[in-house]
Amino acid sequence: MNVYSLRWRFTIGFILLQLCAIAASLVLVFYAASGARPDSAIPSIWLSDAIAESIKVGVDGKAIIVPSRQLSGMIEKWPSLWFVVELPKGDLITHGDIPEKVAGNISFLRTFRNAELHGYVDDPTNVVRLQRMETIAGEAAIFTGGMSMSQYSLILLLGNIAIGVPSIILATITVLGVPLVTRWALRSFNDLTDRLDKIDFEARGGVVDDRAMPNEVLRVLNGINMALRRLDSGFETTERFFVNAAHELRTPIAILQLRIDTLAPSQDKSHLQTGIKRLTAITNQLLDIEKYRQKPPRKTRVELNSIVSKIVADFAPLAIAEGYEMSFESRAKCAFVLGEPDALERALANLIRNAIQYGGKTGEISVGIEADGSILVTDQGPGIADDMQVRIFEPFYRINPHGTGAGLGLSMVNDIVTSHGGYVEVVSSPGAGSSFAVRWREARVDFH
Amino acid sequence: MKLLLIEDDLEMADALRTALSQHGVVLDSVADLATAREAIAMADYDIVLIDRQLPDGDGSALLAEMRRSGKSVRSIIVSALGSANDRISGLNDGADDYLPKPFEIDELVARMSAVLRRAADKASPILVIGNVTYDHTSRDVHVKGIRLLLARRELLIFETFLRNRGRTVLRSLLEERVYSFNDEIQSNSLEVNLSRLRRKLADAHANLVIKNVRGIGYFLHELD
Repeated sequence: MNVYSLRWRFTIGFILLQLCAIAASLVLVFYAASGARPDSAIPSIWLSDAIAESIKVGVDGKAIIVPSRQLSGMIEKWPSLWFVVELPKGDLITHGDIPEKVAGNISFLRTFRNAELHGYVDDPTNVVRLQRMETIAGEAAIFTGGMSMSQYSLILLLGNIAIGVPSIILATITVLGVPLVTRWALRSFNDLTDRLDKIDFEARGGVVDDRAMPNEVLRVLNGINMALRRLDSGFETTERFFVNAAHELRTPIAILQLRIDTLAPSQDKSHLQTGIKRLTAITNQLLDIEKYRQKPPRKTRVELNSIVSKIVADFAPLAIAEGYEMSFESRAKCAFVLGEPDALERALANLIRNAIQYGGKTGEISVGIEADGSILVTDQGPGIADDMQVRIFEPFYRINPHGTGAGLGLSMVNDIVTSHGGYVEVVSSPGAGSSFAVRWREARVDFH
Repeated sequence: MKLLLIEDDLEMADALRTALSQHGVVLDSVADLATAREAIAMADYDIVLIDRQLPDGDGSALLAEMRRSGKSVRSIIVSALGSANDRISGLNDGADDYLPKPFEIDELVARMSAVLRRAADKASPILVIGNVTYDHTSRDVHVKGIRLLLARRELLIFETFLRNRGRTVLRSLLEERVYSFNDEIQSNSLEVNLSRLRRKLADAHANLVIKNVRGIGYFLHELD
């Protein structure tokens, strides 16, 4: 996981926090323990258990003591250690020197269930403990003494039980649980990015779906949607302005054109007429481009044979009037492209118009559909030099600066073809004509 | 030819008046629909040129009024709104033609003549294309005043071209028009008829040429 991912930060953060809390609790307990000043000697709480475990029943049915390893260790360590075990059948097991004061008072002590007599710190063996415990030979009253434990050990023991066990549980839950919880809580962000991925930012009016999102994410999402809407409306305003501007130009151009048309024939007049033609072409194509851009592309199946042959039929009269022959040939029975029929027609019309305009007014303009659905428009004109072939698709670039074109036709062709998942290729050399090919990355051709 | 121009841009109106006067056209111009109604009621115009965006409404509203009043005035919409949809709606409203701004004066004059010619065509059965004439009633074709003798299928082909002037005629359409269901079409039969028609037109020095649009069909090209 990336260090900068939210999930990673949450996980690591929470785990560290919990572990710190656990450590702090432990430290606090031991600090308290270190501060506790022991003022009395306490009989060992382990001794009675060790004795009870060591009681066995002999072959004769009598209880005997077989010291366990723990008990042997204690006996070895504490020479003053003593004990008395009273068993139900009157059996009595003793060990060590039972102090006089205890031996004389056994019958008194026996009247209690449990008893614990603490001694002074400087005389640690002067302690007594009575505990009744279940042994293999029945319930035994175990009197012990002569061995003490420190108060530290007790507090440590209690501390371990009170804090240690919960700490282990907590630590385990933390390490295992936090990543899961974090992932669960942050799942909405994954949803958010998924939904953002689905938005087509090219198309106008796209907003992120905000169903079933938690409040925090919803705020981010509302922000994104608001920004998208603002951008959309900004775009619209600009576009409207642009279209209006192009529109508004038409009347002044019309006036200018009429004024020029009324001038007496002269070289100046023909220059002015060329200029006006170009101005008209630019405004028309600007409007054309905007019109195409305003529409989000529909995804309909467009059959190429039918639209290409239609456009060729439409343009044949113009081409013939300009001195060309025109032909159409298709090698694909059926070729489909998903997209906007109007836009594709406009792209093709622009390619053919381009050929008519720059094809040298001679020879044949042939339009073809190849077996893979590619569309070819070939002329026999003067051709295009290598260094210009890249530039012809740039908006407003014109090979012939004195022509009447707007320099927008091929750039529009390129835009439209690209938005349909294709690309335009040029094969041309000076004197050998030009061939423009519209190729599709995804060919959908039927050969039936 | 007498014209009424409805145009609120005075400079545009003036420029049009000057340009048209060189073509011998007399022009009255008004700036809004209300004045236009009065003018139409008072005088007879051959053609009304209508701008769409006028101070008191859309010029196309006038088309419906003129049609209702029974006046047979030809109309051409001259507008800055030039998209295909605008043109279609203008023509559907009853305009005889639609010319988007800007335009060349020659084009306007040509379209005005075409509109008037169409009006005249309905009255007169003779169609004139350069040095060729065609009589709708007798179905006779003359080139330079001399009758051109055409066989039945050649005539059918020629008429199909005339009905589709300015357009490419699909091969399938020609076959459909020239042959009935019962005829067995031999693959080269249309070509044979076409080349005969071609030769006859060429021999008579007609300024009409049948051009082949390979893969699509044919086009009747009118030489200048």
